[in-house]
Amino acid sequence: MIEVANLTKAYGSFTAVDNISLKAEPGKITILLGPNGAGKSTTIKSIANLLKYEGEINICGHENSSLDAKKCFGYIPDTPVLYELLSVEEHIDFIGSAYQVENYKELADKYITLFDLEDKRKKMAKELSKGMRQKLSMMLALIIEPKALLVDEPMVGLDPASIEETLQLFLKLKVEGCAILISTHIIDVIDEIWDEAYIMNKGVIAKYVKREELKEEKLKDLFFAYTDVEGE
Amino acid sequence: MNALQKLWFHKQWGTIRNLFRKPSSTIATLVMVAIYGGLLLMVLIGPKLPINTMTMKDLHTAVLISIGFSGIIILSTLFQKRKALFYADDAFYLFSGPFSDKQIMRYLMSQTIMQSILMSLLSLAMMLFFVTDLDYSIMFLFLTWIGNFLMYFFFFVFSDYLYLLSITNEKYKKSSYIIAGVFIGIILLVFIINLAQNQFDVQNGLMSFAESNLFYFVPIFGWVKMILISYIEQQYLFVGLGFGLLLLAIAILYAIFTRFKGDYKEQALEDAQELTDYVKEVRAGKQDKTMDTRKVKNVRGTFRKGAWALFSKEMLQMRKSGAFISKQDIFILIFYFVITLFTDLGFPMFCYMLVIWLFTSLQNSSLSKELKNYQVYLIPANPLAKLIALILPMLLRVSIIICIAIIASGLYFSMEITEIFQYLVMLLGYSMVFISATVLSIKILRSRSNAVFVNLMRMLIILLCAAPGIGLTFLLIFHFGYYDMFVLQILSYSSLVLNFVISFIIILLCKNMMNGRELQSD
Repeated sequence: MIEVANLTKAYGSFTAVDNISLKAEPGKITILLGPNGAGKSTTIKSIANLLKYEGEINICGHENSSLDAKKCFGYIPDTPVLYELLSVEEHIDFIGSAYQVENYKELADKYITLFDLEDKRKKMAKELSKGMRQKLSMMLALIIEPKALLVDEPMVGLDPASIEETLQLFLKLKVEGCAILISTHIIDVIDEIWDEAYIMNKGVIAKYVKREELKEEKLKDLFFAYTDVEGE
Repeated sequence: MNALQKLWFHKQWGTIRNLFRKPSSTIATLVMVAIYGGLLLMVLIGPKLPINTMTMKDLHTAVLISIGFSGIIILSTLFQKRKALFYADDAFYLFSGPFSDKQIMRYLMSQTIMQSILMSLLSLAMMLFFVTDLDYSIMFLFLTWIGNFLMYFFFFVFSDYLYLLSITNEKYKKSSYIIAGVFIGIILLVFIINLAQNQFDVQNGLMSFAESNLFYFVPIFGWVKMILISYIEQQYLFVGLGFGLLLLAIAILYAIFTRFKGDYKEQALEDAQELTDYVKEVRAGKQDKTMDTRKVKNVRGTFRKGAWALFSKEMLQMRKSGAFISKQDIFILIFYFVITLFTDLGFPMFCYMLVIWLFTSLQNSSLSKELKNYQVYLIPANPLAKLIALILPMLLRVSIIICIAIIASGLYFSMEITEIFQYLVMLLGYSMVFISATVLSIKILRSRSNAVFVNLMRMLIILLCAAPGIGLTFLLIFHFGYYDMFVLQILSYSSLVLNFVISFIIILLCKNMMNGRELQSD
C-alpha cells in the first residue's frame, strides 16, 4: 500500500504539487494521469523519497524514508539510470546483493527470459539499445520482489511487443498483491489495465475515479474534461 | 555588421550573461574571480628578485614553463581523436545557411581568437604560479601573453586545417598525428643534443636544454622563446625576428585556410554532432558512456552484501575502466617529477604539485556522479555505511597513488622519514578534505552542485582546518612573543590532523543525505 497525505512540493516560488492525497492499494493498478508539467513525476519522486517535500508518505505501512519502506518498494524511473560499464548480469548482482535478496538469480532468470534479454547477459549497459535499457531498468526494480511498485512513464522507448509484455507483467504483479502506481500521460497504453485513476492538473488532483464507476464515459473524456488539454 | 559577426557577438554576450543569470551564479563568478585574481595578485606583489639580478636559469625556466604548458595543450589538441570545426548548433546554421566557405572559415577563426586569448592567459598564469620570485615587468608579461597567444592561434587554426584535409582526403587522415610527432621529434632531438653535450647527466642536460639557443630552431615554440629571452637580453632585432617569423607563418596559414576548397560539410556536420553529444555526456558526468567499448577491461567481480555492494560496484567499475591507476595519472606524476627536477625546488615542490593532481583527480572522479544517481538513495542499508562505501574506493585510489609517489620521491631526494611522513599526512588529509567537500557540496546544493561550488567548498574547508593553527601561531608569536619552534611545529601538525577530524565530522553530519531527498535541488 502506498499512502500519500497532504503532499506539497515547491521549487522555489513554483508549487509543483499542491497538497495532494492519494492511495495505491495492494492488488490494484493505480494511475496518475496528467498533461506535461502536471506534477506526476514530482509526486512519484517524492514517494520514492528522492525529493524534499511537505506531507506524509507511507509505503507498506512504513514512513518512506525508513529502511523497511525501502526494502519493499521498487522504482522504475522515466529515463533508465544505469552503470554504463556494468553488464546486465553485474547490474543484477549489484541490486540483488545491495537489497540482500536471497533468490535474486532465479528471479532474474525469469525476467531475462520474459524480456528477451538472454543473449544480452554479458553486454554492458552502454551497448544496449534504448528499449533494452528500459527493460533492464524494470528488471532491477522487479528482482527485489517489491510489494509496492512506482513506475514513471514506463512505456517510453519500448516497442509494441515489449509494451504488451510489460502490461501483462503489471497485471501479473497485481494478481500477486503488489500495489502499483503508474505515472503516465499516454492514456491509450494503460486504458485496459488500470483500476483507479488520479487525474492531475497544475499540481492538484482534479479528479479521482475507479474503473467500475465509469459507465459510458471513457478515461480519455475525463482527462480532457479535467485538464487544460484540448481533445479532438 | 553582417549576420555572422552578429552571431559571434551574441554568443560572447550570452556566455557572459549566463555567468550572471542568477544571484547564486553571480556570487560564484565574483568569488572565483576574487580567489584566482587574489592568488595572482599575491604572486605579483610577493617578494621578488629584481629582473636585472635574476639568473638566466630562472628566466629560461619561467619562459619554458609557459611555453611548455602551451605546448602540452597544443599537442593534446593535435592528438585529439574527436575533432570538429564547430559544435552542432553553429555547424547546422553555418553549413545550411547562405554563407560562403570563406565566411565560415573567418567565423571559425574569430572563435579561435577567443579560445587563444583565454588559453594564453592560462599559460601566463602558469609561469607566474610556478616561478613566483621574479620581478616581471609589464612589458615582459605582455610579450609572454602575446607570444603564447600567437602560438595558440597558429596551432588551433593549423589543427582545423589538418582536420579539413583529413576529412576530405583519405591520405591526410593521420596528418595531425604526424605533425605533432614531428614537433615532438625536433624538441627531443634538441634535448638529446644537450644531454650528449652534458655527458648524459639528466639534471645538467635539462638545464642546458632550457638555456640552449638550439631551441630557437624549433618552429613556433622556439620563436616565442626567442622573443622573450631576446627582450630581456635587449637584443631587439631578435625580438622582431621572432615576431616576424610568427606573423609570417600565421599570414601564410590564413591565406591557405580561407581559400580551402573541398567537400567537407557532410562529415564536418556529423563530427560536430558527435562532439556535441560527447561534451554533453562528459558534462553530465557520463564519461563511461562515451568510453570506447574495446578499451573496457574484461574483469569480473563479486558483490558484497547491503551497503558494501556499492563499494564492490565502484571497485569493479574502476577496474573495468582502468581508472584505479590510469596511464594519465602516471604520466602527470612523471611530468610533475620532471618539473621538480627541472626547477630544482626539491621534494616539497613535488608534494605541492601532488595537491594539484589530487584536486583535478578528485574533480574528475565519479563520486559526484554516484551521488546524483537515485539508486544509492533507495538501497535499504545504513546511511553512514552507504556513504563510506561510496567514498572508500576513491580514497583508496588516491591514498595508494599518493603513498607511492611521496615515498618514492622522498627516497630519491634523500628526505628524512619524519618529513616524508609529514607530507604524507598533509596529502592524505587534503584527500579527505576534497572528498568531504564534494559530499557537503551535494548535500547543500544537491542537483545544482557543480565543479565551481565544489572547489569553493574545498577551499573553505581547508581554510577552516588551517584557521585554528594559524590563529594560535599568530597569537603565540605576536601577542605572547613565544618563538619555540617545537610548539609552533606541533601547531602546524595539528592543523594537518584537523583536516581528518573536520572531514570526518562533515561525513558524519552528511550521512542522513543517503536516505534520499538530496538528489534534486528546490
